[in-house]
Amino acid sequence: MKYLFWAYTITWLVLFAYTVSIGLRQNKIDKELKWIKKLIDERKGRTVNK
Amino acid sequence: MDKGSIKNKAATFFGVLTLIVMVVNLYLIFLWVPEEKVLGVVQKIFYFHVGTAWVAFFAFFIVFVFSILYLRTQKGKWDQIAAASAEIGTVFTTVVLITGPIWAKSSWNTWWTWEPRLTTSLILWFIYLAYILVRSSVTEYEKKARLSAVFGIIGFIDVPIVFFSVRWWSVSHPTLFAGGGMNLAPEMFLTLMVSVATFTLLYFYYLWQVVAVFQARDRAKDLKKELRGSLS
Repeated sequence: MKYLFWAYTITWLVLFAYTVSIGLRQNKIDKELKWIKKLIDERKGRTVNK
Repeated sequence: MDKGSIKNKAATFFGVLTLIVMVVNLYLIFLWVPEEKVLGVVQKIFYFHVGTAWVAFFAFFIVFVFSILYLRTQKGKWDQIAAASAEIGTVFTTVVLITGPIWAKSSWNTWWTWEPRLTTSLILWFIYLAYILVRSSVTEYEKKARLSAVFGIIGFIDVPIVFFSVRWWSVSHPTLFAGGGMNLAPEMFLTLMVSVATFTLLYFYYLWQVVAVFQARDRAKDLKKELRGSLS
C-alpha cells in the first residue's frame, strides 16, 4: 500500500509543480508585457506632446 | 466579446473538463476496478504509469511532426508547439521514471535494473532534457529553432525503440500488447482507457498554456524591439 501511496503522491506533486511553474511563467510574462506597453504608451504620449 | 477573453474562457472550460475526468479516473482506479490477483493493490500504479507513458510518447510524436513542419515552412508557431510538447513530454517521462521504479520495487524487489525498457526510457528522458537545454543555451532564434527541430526529429527514433524493446529484448518488464491484443480484464481495460484519455486531455491543456506563454514571450520581444526603435 505504501508503494501505491508514494507513486500517486509523487505523480500529483510533479504535475502540480509543473502546473504552478506554467502559471508563474504566465504571470511573469503578463507583467512584463504590461510594463513594456506602458513604456511605449508613455513614449508615444511624449512624442505627441512635443 | 474579444478574442482574448474567448480564449481564456475556452482554456478555463478545458481545464475544468480535465479536472472532472481526472476525478472520474481516480474513482475508477481506487473504488471501481478490481484488484489484480497476483500483484494486489500495488498493480493500480499501472493506470497512471501507462497513461503517462502514452502521453509522453504522443508528446514526442508531436515534437517530431511539428519539427518537420518548422524545417519545411520556417514558421515560428510550429517551433513553439514542438518546444512546448517536448517540455510536457519530458515532465510525463519524469513521472514514468518515478512510478516505474516504485512499481519495480514492490514487484521485483529492486528500484532499478538495467533491462532494455528501463534503459531506453532513461535515454529518452535524457534526449529531451538535452533538447530543452539546447533551446535554453542558444540565444539566436533561427539557430535555436533549427537546431531543436533537428534534435526533435532525431530524438524521436528512441520512441519506437522504447515501445518495442519489451518485444525485442526484455524478459522482466510486463507486456501490455501481446499476441495481437491486450491481456486485460474488461474493467481494467476501461479504467486504463479512461486514464489514457485523462492524461491526453491534461497534455492538451498544458500544450495550450505553454504555447500561450511562448507566444507572449515572443510578443514581449517584439515590443522591446519596438521600444528600442522608438528610443534610438
